[in-house]
Amino acid sequence: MGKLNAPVDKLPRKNLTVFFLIDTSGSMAGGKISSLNVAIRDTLPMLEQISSENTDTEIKIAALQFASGCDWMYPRPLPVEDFEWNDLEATGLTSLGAAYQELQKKLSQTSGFMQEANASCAPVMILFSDGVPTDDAKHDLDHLKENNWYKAAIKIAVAIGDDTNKDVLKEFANNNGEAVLTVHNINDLKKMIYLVSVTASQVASKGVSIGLDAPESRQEEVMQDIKKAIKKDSSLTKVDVGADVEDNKGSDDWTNW
Amino acid sequence: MIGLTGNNSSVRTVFNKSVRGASHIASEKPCQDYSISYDECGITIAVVCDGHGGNTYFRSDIGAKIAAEITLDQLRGFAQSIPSEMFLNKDFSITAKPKRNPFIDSDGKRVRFEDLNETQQRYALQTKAYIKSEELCKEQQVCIEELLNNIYTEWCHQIRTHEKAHPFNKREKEVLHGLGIEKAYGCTLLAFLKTKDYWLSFHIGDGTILSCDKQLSWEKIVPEDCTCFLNYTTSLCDNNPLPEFRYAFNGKGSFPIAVMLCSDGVDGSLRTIENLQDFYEQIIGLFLDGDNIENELGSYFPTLSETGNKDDISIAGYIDLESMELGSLRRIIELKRKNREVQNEYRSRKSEISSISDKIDNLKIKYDRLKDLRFDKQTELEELKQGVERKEQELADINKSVSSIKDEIENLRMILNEKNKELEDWKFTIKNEMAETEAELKNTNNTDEATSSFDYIEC
Repeated sequence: MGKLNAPVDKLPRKNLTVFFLIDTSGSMAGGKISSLNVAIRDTLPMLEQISSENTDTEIKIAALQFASGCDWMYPRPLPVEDFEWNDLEATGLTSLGAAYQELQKKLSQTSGFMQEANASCAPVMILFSDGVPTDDAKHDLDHLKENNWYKAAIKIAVAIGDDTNKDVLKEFANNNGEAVLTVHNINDLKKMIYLVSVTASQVASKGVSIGLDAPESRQEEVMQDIKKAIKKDSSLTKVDVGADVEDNKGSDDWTNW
Repeated sequence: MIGLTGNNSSVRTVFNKSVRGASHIASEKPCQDYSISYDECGITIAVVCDGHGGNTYFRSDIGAKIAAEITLDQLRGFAQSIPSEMFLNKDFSITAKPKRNPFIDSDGKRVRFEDLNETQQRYALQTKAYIKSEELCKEQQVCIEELLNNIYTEWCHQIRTHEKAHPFNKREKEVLHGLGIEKAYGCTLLAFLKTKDYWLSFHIGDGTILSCDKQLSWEKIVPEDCTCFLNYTTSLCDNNPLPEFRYAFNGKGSFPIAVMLCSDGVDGSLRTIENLQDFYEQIIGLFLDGDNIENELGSYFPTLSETGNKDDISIAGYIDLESMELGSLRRIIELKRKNREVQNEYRSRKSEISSISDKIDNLKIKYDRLKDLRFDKQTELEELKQGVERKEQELADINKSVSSIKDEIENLRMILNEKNKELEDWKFTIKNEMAETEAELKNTNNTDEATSSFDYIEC
């Protein structure tokens, strides 16, 4: 037994905040929003397990819904074990720009959700949408892009059905078309919510440093893992991986619930 | 390694240690950190290099070793060839050169500091600090930038030589996506040089360089670079890395008693600057006790990596207690340790209180939400109850009607029975009467009429 000792075990673990950004506009009503509610609720226990098994990182959850305005489910990110999912209802417009503005406000150490960088992992941001923004989302995203937390975040977008503007989602995901997944039915939506949330959280909780202009990013690492998982699962053949992939266009079926 | 037990006016030490991180042991990757320390002929040098962990940097362990060894050679040569007068009575530090004007937005419009977000404000402050420093000690800046250029040029040369001797295979070329070979060897660099007249330190990338004075007051001697954020770091393998170096020197005779350089495996695992300082003071304590620092670090670092961020861990440093009264130093260390214990306990209690407060706040939210839900349900229940009452009333009314009709039916049945009975009695009576009448009529010979009347009654 050596003489050195650091009170690491007494310290709070690093925070990994998983942001769920959820379109709750009217078009999400019915099977889409109800399956999303069930899927995220079902995913939380797995995230809780990842968090409890990691000595260095604690997963916290923040959920922002946007429709005619936007609202956080809770006023601050909660440890995943304390997070109770409240079912969302869908009605109104698609104010994605308002959601970007709100996210920008909270991605701050002094006046938002974030803690000092040494005590944090790069956050995970997962955007779910089935439509087209009804406000000036591009302008608000340009501002958000100046935020270091956003820049460092692992960002994945899930397009729910053919009516989604995938270019908007691609721009959210660092203009990385690979990080846009399109689902066409409720079962795939449920599976992808689980897969994306769990994989991104696993990768984000690893402490690997990379260069500023790295050709590969944590986001790409996540996408590689997701693509492998999709390939392995024969029931996920109707998921389109990539903003430009439209192999399953026209196969939307949101009734099987 | 030399330890101290009392007043000593001649002892100092340098040390370094690098160990493979828990995640690299698990994935069978090599240790991508490298560290060196040197102390001869009045020249003290400590260097740490941290090879990047992403897939692109598949030779970052070699890049880190090459960078550290070149830096040692270059610093030794620098200390020997550059006259000390260059730095005498001067004190200077400069951060990384800004790459853009933080006060001009993406649309080319001027923006005020107050309108910038937190990230932009940090960058703006860093830019201001750079501009302020840029005008000072220009001759020394040129001299140090030449040193950095030499290190970088030699690093590029040696990694190219290495690549020629060990060409990339097809898969490695694919991973590089056609980028320069520097990417494969990418690493950070932290260095410290001390001569009898001055000290010089420079840094590119993440990790931390801390120094402490006789009061064990710790500070970052090289300015920070806010572009090194979370797991993103500047690097020797960046497209133009020289402006990304930040550095400092001091030739005013103000020498720290200890300087520690560490990779992000150390500061990332210890998480707070207070813990890092505590850890460094433990190292100074080991030195005072005459322990072998490198052995102690070697046995402790695997545990630190395992419980921490699982990254490779490197440290290099020097401790110089020449001018220190050792008893006093022990007392200061002990006092600071106790103070930190109190601080940690305070933070722990505050954290517990804050956690409970957070839970109360969250429960309040749930409470309010449930209260609203309860109100809605109560309203719904009231409406349902009123509905039930209405239905019960309707049912009672119907029951009453049913009962009344049933009674009426019974009454009518009774009446019907009576009437039937009366009819039978009447028929019987009439029959008798008619029979009597008929008999009378027979007697009076009016047979046809009497028979007809009798038939009508029978029907």
